[in-house]
Amino acid sequence: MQLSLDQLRIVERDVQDEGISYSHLEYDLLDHVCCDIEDRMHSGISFNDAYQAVKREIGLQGLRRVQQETLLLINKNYRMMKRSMKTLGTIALAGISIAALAKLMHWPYASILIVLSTFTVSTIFFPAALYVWYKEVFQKKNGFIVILAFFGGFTFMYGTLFKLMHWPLANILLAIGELLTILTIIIGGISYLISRRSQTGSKTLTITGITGIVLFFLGTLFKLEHWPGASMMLILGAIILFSIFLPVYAYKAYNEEKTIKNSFIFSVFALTFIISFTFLLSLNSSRSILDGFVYMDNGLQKTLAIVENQIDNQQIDGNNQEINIAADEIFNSIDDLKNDLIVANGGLDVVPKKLKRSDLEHLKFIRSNETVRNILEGKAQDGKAYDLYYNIQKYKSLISETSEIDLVSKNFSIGILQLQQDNPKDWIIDNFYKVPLVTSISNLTHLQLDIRLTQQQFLICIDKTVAQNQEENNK
Amino acid sequence: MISRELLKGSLKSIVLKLLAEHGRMYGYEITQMVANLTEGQITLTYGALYPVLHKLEKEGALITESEVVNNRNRIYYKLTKKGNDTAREKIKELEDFIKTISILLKPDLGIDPCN
Repeated sequence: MQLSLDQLRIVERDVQDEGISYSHLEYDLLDHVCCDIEDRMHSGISFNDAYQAVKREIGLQGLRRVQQETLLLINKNYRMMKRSMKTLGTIALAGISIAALAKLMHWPYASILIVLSTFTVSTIFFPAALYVWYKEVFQKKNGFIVILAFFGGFTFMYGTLFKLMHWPLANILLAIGELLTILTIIIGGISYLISRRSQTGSKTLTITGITGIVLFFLGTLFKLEHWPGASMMLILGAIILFSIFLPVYAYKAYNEEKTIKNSFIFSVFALTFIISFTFLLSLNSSRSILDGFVYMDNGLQKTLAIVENQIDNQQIDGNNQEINIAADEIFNSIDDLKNDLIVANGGLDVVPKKLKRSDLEHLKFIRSNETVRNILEGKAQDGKAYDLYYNIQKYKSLISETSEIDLVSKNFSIGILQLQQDNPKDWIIDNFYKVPLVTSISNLTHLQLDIRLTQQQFLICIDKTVAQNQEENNK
Repeated sequence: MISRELLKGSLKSIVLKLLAEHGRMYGYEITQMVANLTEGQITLTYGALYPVLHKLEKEGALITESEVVNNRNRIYYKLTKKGNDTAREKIKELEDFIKTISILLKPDLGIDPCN
């Protein structure tokens, strides 16, 4: 008995769906399956029954396994690569997880671990995985897309690494990586749409999915570069993906198969993970904190300007001069310290007078890293924070000695109050290590304001005393 | 039924032997012939047969011809000149193997306990 053309098409489509691309293996297997069905139909059963029986015998994804075994037998390199890929992938994954944990807990060697495991994933595992994928799943003619995917993924992963480590060029790398990834998705999607494998019904769905993903990636790119419209794209992309594409796709997949395939579960997980990760990395939480900080710092700067203006208008003589010089010195040294901290950790060359959110983006994750500790503590307790601590102590006693009123406890607020800790080390820990660097810098601005306020109050008091003395003399 | 484990090493020789005797054959034909000849004792699965066929082709022992049969492509396999030599070698090797194994399995040949 011979299969009809319609029956042949059914089998042909299923075999093609397995995505067998090695040499003439697809023809081999199609013919084999057809022969098997024809043989069984000879004994009088229907096409459907015969086909089901054959399918049962091959097992789930059996044909694809034939291809894998063929490749394994033929290609020694491929065999080795596949084996080492499994090991390497597991090691790199473990490395990244441990590194993330170490980074969170401020353990040593976190950075080295991150660099090493990212290198393993992007330079060894990822190309090998793409190669295997290309050999097993992809049609040979689509080599261009695989190359594009390679460069896109490669640049993107290194971009993420550079961004994490605050190395230069991170944003450029990320932008190039994202652009290439978007291109890959678009070209890959179009070639899938053109290929014989997609059916007319699922075309609209595929287009919807591609639009969602492209919009989402474009959104993250725009976000990264601080271009307008980023949030709009992110939200639109997420809505298309999660409230249109995924439900419809899941419904279709369920209806067609009656069971849910592993690959479907995997793709949902991967998609959710990637997208929630990107959201966390680039969006809300950090943004509002930084906005708040910048707002506060700018406000403090404004008050400072007013106070400084008033001080300038106050008369200057004898003792006042000493206080003014001391105040100026501390004020400038705090400015220096802030600059050092921002430049060393943020990759900025010069710190602008008025800070923007983007200037401080990196600082929110930094606490007591080595650079910060070196600047603050120096090699042997000779760092800038120690100098600052002792200078402020001197300033305080200078003011207490020259004025009769207890100005120090009256005016010095948060920053200086914490200076009452006798030990400079405790002061540094409280002000710099227990909070993110952004907060420390804000604290420093506050300290500057305290210094100026005390100075101003002092000058007013001196004025009053002078005026009182004159009055008494007149009497 | 012969276990896959035992069959694994001699699969190549069996395929070569069949092709040497019958000229050109296609995959399904080979599995059917093996099943018929061994009365169902040996069944070649897809997963066992095609990797071996493709490997032999890659090594240059076989060539393929494509022909449209019943509206689908059928791939026929045929021994090359080099393949003929390989076949002879492999069949000889398998025969030697069987001889050696049977010696091993009959250790009592010389010392008949009834004697």
